[in-house]
Amino acid sequence: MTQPRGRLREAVLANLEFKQRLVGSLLHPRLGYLDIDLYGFSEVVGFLCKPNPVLDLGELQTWLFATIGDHELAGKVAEVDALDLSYFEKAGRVRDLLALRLSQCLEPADHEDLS
Amino acid sequence: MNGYTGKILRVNLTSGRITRLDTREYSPWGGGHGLGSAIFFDLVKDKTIEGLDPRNVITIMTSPLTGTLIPGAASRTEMQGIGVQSYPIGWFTRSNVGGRFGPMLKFAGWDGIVIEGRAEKPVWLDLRNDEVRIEDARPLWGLDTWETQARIWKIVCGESFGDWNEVAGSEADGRTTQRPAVLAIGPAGENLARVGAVIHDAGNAAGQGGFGAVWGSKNLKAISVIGTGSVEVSDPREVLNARLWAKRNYGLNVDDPAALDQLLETSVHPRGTAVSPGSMPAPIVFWQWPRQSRPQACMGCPVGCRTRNQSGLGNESSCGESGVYAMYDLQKHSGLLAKAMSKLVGGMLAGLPLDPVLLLKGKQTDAAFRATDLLQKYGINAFEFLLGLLYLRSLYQMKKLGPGREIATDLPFDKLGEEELAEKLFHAVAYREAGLGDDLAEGFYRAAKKWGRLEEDLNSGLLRFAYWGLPDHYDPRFQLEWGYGSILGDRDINEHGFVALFMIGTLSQLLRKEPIVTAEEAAYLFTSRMAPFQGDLRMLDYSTENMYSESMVKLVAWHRRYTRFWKQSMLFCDLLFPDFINPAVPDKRGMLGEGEPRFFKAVTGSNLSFGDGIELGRKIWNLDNAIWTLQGRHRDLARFSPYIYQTPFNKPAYLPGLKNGKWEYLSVRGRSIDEKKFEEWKTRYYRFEGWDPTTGWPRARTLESLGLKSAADELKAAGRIGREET
Repeated sequence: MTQPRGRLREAVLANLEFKQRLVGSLLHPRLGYLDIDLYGFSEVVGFLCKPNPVLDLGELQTWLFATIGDHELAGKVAEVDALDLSYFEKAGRVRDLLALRLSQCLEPADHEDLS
Repeated sequence: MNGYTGKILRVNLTSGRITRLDTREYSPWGGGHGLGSAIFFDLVKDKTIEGLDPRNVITIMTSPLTGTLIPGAASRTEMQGIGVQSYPIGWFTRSNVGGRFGPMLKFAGWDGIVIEGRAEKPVWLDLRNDEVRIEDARPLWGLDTWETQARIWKIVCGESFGDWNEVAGSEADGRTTQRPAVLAIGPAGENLARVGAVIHDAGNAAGQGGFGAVWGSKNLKAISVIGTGSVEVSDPREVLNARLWAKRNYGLNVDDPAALDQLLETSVHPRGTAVSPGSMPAPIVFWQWPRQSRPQACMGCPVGCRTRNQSGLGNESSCGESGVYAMYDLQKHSGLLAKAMSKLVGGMLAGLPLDPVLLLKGKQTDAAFRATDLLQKYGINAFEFLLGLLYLRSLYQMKKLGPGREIATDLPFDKLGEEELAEKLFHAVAYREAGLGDDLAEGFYRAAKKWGRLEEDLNSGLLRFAYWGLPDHYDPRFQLEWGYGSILGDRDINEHGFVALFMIGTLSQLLRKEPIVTAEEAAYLFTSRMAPFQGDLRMLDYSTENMYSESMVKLVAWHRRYTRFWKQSMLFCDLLFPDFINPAVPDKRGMLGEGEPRFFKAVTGSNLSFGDGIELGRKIWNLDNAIWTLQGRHRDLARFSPYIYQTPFNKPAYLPGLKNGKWEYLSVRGRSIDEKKFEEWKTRYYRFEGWDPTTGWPRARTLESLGLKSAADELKAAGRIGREET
């Protein structure tokens, strides 16, 4: 994916307002679904790292396109969504794409090694 | 009286009088909930009192299986009385706690405890075998639940944990290496917060109902019990054989990777699992499972669904309470997540997939564990906050909550996910600090009402409190028996007996894998053992066409009866029972119907059949409904929150159902409950139970046929008996 700059990079790193949020749900045998409000790109990535994350990939594409303004990534997610894969396989690939985009937006200072 | 000790402790806190009830008088009710309902009915003359009234009676009951080796039934304790959490009426309700309190109570020689009245000053009860004392709790008042327990342990057995201690001052009274089992309230209960819980050990809570506040109103800080006896059983050899039978035939083989995979994919829980560190299935937690941990089980349980952790944080907490803060911690520290990803991105660019386990490193802090520990220490109902915090976050993001906003608070909600906010918020609730803390001590439903937001937020579903002012759990729009059972009763039923259907159906779709049983097989597996309604496969038909049917009436009726007796009176753990479907068995047929009576007979010697238990459950359910009716229940009150009727459920949900005459796991996404049709369904249900469909009140004929003439008489005297059908 192309290196994001300027407003797109800011949008990826921004905290969002209530009406801009995305709602995900964790599927869990003791609860059914636990809804989680996601107020930013990194929160979506974090959510997708949890076990059994359920997120409407169509809504995600719209959110990336309209709220974040990341048309390229929205298109990539649409490509994944069109694959003949299970939902969880798609969710894993989408998580990796979003993680890659987030890492592209980080400052060099954020790229410290974790011990 | 095998399985019973023969006596129930009765303590009147007003008079200080300590007496006994003869268990034999109540043993026809089985144990646990049945005993509690019957005793409550007899002792509380005016059922219209509120939970904080000194005349409210709290029962704390064990079952004949408590303190034995029966798997999943040895440890639980049922607490009942008029609660303060539900709305608009604080219903006669129940909660349930695991750990070791119940067994220790039996070892001390008691089948249960009845608490009446109100002490003039704070007290705690000190039970050492037969010896019972009401002690001054003023030195304990103000302590959190963990400090309280530690202080009592020292009072009872000094500093010598693990050494032999004389229980009542002389060796003749018995010795033990165990420390007392203590139920305690924290500041939340002392300050009469409706979200106050009763806590035992580190992470066992009787959370639902607001019993912490009820204890607080009685000036009861704690009950400690230590015993050196044991439970007499009818056939000790058969108790062991039955336990081994369950383990060998129905337990998960933790050495079989395929079995573990199947468990993870189906989320059907293991039965009778042999647990050892390193080979246990994952504990049931929402936070990142600390690997430096050991499994921790309630007394006698072969599973061990919680952990004790090297860090000392989050011990024994599991399920919903572990999820209260975990996601916010994750979200708050997503900067750390980003750093972790940056380390991995090089590998990804080289074509390697991101490793989610590595990705998890560095993003969860101790805040999630500490927040849950704070809830346990303050004695706050964690489940209320699991959905409540989601609501508060929404209000904060909407700029409705915060400094100078519509709901004014100086609490730092910008630090949600950090320990600082958890500490300040839970402290404010527990101590009823003016403003947000005091509002939330009343529970989120009442708080929203006070803020003038209730109608709007229940309509939109922003406040996901589906029934009786209590948080949603398994959503009524798809898990029908859960929602219907909750609204016909007094609380979120929190009974997972049928949710395997949803998990198998939904996960098989989301994973694109064959389900471990087909929808048709599931219908047979479940309904073939649902006496007395066995054979009606449509009880398992969750399709929209069938959701208001007579078969759905039977499903709900069976579930209410099964759980009232086998789960809440015999106290089989919700995690293990009912064992409808079991991945460890070749034909997937769990021990339901066979296990329960076998265990019961091994302990008591009684030939009570599975169906007898279901019928006793019906009797208990009817008595409970009589109590609710006396409290003011009418069918018009039994309504879900508006969003359940108005807003379609919009997530993937697949459940067994018939489509064009064929069984499938059907998608029920996009449906809501039709209010008019649900009212018609209620009419069917009331008729089926022999209750008056115009009011939902029990009929005298029904009650008398169940041996509940005294309940019928009391309802008649109150002018609340159901009209007989003409």
